[in-house]
Amino acid sequence: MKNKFLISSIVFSIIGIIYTFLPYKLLTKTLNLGFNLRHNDHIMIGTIALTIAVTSIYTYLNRKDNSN
Amino acid sequence: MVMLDAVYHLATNTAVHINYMAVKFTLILLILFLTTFWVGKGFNHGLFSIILGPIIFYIYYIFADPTLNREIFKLDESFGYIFLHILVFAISYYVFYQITSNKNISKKIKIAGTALILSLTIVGLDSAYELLKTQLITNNEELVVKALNFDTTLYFIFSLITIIFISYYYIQNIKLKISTIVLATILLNLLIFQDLTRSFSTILTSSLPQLLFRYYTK
Repeated sequence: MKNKFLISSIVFSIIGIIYTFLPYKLLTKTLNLGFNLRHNDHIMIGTIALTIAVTSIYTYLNRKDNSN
Repeated sequence: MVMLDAVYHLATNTAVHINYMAVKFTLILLILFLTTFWVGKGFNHGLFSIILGPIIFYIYYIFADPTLNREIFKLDESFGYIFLHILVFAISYYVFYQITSNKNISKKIKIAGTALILSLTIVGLDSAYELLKTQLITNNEELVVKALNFDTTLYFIFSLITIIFISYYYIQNIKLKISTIVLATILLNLLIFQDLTRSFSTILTSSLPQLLFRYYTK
């Protein structure tokens, strides 16, 4: 169960970084990950993914501390 | 938290922008829900949520494209506002944590905390309704920003705090208590804003937070 949080934090971090920090043209034209959405929608998806990633890593560390 | 923040913005003439309010609400709700659901509630978990929430929201502000004209409207996007968001989040988290988890507080303080939380939630939902209605009717974000007024919002909040405090203090029957507050909210809303549709929408915006609160605390 603990590892699930670690995996989810890694996966959501990658999604979050891609959608929040990459330039709009690189995301839509080069990577084809735009899904015809606006730039602000991408940022919203990215920040939601970053939120899940950080909360997952916090949960992972918290459960690891409790089990030790 | 979002409503406390909105009141501060109204007081300091900073724009209460529905898009940013919606983003703020979504991110704060997500962080709070995930932390409480996966880890639980407590001092450390609360601290984690109240610091992470405003930081993530600040990241959104930095990278998103502005939709409002910054020469006319002042927004809460500077770095210093992180501390304001942390403060209002901490106040809300602390009050809610105390009234739901602390068994040693007196009845009066518990009811006062409940009145504060419920009134801010009810006014917040009512404000969201008004902002959304203006957005849908006018489709002009610059008009939406001007939809809320500091004086009337504050008057509505303080009247509701008083009514909820009195109802929770004197009425024991739960159905009667909720009905009284809903009825009082409708009348207050009609009296302050003179808008019949808006005042009837408070049947939902007033009863829903109370039922959720009742479900959570019983």
